[in-house]
Amino acid sequence: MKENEIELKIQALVDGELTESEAEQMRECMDNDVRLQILYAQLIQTKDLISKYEMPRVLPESGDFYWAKIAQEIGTGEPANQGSNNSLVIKWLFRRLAPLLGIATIVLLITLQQPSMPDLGIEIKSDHELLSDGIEVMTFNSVDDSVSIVWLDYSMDIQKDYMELWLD
Amino acid sequence: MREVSDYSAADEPRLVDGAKSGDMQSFEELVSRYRDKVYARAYSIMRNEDLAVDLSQNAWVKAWQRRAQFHGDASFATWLNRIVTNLCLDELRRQKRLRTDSIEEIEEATGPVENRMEIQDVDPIAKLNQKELRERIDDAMDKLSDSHRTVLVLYEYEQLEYKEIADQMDTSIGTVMSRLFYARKKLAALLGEALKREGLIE
Repeated sequence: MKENEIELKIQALVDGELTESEAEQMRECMDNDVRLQILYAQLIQTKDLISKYEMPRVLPESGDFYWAKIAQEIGTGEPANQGSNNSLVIKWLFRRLAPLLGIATIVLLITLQQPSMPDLGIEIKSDHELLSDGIEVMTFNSVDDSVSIVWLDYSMDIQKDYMELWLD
Repeated sequence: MREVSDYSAADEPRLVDGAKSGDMQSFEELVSRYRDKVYARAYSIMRNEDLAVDLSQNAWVKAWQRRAQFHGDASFATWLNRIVTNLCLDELRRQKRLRTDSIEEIEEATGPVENRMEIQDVDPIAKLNQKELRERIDDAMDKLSDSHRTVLVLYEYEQLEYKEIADQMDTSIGTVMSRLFYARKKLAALLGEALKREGLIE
């Protein structure tokens, strides 16, 4: 037997694909050959790893979506045109763009539902100051930049009074 | 079976009988139970998410069309996996990814690169947890050629015998044995290289 044939026979022994007499013959071959013993051990280990550690996978799409296509094809009796490059590209685009389109729609709806500024009859110019007892409020508003900034300035005395009130 | 809950609680033979008599809801329940497994088998051969989804759906359509041919000799899951495996092999042939006169076969005859690699005593189980080990093995499977990976999947996962694989792949038992041998050696070498890179073995 050639070396390559012996290796394949060793593999068949590992896989349980030899008859009893062939298996006995191979075991005798191995008894006198350390290299074959190592090969036998390596094949058993590799076989063990592959069969025990298959990566578990789940469908990348919802069960309902998956079933809908099956039900549709069963209903029409027309099997899918498997492997069509155009349909694969379209499906690939649809599967990836559908979630993005969904998110974009939600963002658009939220934006449209944002409450508009209440009309208080006050036209805020770019810069003005309101004064109250002990608290200084100043706002800056720029329509062009769509920016409003509010400064609050109050003395430590007010803060102290407020803290005491809160502690009471 | 009338109530929806009846279907989810029903045992498999009852659902199969229901599907065979044309009850679509029984069939839908079977799809729900086995869709991940059928998809996983398609993915393990094709290594492409979209193709695996399409082929697994086609397998269910074929299963419905041929449901009268299921006699319960093997389990329903095994029968389904055979259907999806055949569809994957047809697709690989269509894409000419199962080459018969490829460089890899010439290498197998003359002595491939893997033959010159020293035999490593790889004991990854001691170094990695199960998830990490699965990922490393999956990466290595990804790097195998289609014909090598397919033989490995059919033998190790589908548990077909050499002759059954030869019949399914339209090739000889000798070619199946050769491909299986080099697929295992290459996978062991790839796994050894990955573990070396990560410093898990010397």
